[in-house]
Amino acid sequence: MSEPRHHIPEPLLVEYTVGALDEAVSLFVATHLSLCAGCRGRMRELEVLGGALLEETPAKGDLDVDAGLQALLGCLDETPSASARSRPPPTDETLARIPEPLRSYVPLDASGRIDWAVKLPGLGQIQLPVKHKGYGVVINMLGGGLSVPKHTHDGMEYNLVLTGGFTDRDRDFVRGDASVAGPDLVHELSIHRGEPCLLLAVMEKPLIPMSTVAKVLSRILPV
Amino acid sequence: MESPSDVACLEAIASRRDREAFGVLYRRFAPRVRAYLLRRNADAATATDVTQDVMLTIWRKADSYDSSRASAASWVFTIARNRYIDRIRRQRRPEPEPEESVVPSDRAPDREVDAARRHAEVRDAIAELPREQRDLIFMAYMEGRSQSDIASAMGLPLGTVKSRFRLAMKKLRERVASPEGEEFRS
Repeated sequence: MSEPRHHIPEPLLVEYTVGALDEAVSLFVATHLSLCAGCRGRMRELEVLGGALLEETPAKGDLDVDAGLQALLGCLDETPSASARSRPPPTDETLARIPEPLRSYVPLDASGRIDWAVKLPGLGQIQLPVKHKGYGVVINMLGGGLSVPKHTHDGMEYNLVLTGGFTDRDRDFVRGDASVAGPDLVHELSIHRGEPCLLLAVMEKPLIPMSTVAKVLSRILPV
Repeated sequence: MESPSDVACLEAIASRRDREAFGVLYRRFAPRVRAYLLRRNADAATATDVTQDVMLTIWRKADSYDSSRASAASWVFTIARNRYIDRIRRQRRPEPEPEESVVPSDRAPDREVDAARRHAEVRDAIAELPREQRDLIFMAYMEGRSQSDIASAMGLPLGTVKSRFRLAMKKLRERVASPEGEEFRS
């Protein structure tokens, strides 16, 4: 599989590495990393830096090291409670194309399938339960050949292509490609023909749900 | 330094549950991990509690440490960061899970040396940074602050913080980059 061509910007990768991001944005970064060996390498370099800085951190004098060590030596033999979090292999073929860690966030119906909310012909959407009020996290399924007229976003928007692809004003985005856009950026998407484009969208500060839905619907028109 | 290296300690824990080696690591890292947690705004009691948790995780997961991939300090850093997110921010930390699992790195001695060498180089590179850039990198890493956050804390324009940060990262990257191995190419 070819490597993605649109990557995580360096400052965002630093924020992910140091643990400064909210879970929603971390999910976007981590899922790109699952598909991009280059960015994983860059992250590992940043972690080396984290280790070096940890060593440089002056130790605070108010920790009783001996007492702390003694206390801990007493619990070393306890066996940790197993943290089993394994799901059976996906039965839904769309789910199978969604990489981890994102896949584990996708809510499934009783038969193990993704329960798409159909917003319009050619536009399905599923909301992901990410515990953070400042962000909306959805996966959009956009039909091949769809076009999305010019629009901007109300806050930062983080997009990651999971399947298919689109062209946004001359730039092509396919599986694994990430885009980070501020509110001032104008988008105009044409979804590539062929398989539907599955697109992770993490949106900062969504508006009241109903009006957002209405705005999205007014933008997206099947051709 | 006469005491055993961090890597040797981790290997002793992994292979024979060596408590003495754990004691060495504890004395070396617990005070720093706690200082890190305090810098990230944990109160004193929580910082102590989470530090114990981090050190216990090191004991339990020592066998998953791969010295050809990461220096011991950077492995400890990632554990401290993850426990911070879990215990103090109370969020999950999504981690990458590559699909086409690359052949697991063989623990070749030369790669081990490479990880240790890169670690030493980065330390030197940090020491050589101008003060203003070093402070910035420290605030980003040890306090987990975003660039805009740092700009307002230091009373600097965001553009200045961004360009200093870029400059510092460029210097550090030149030292940390590994010439071989796909995983390290950007």
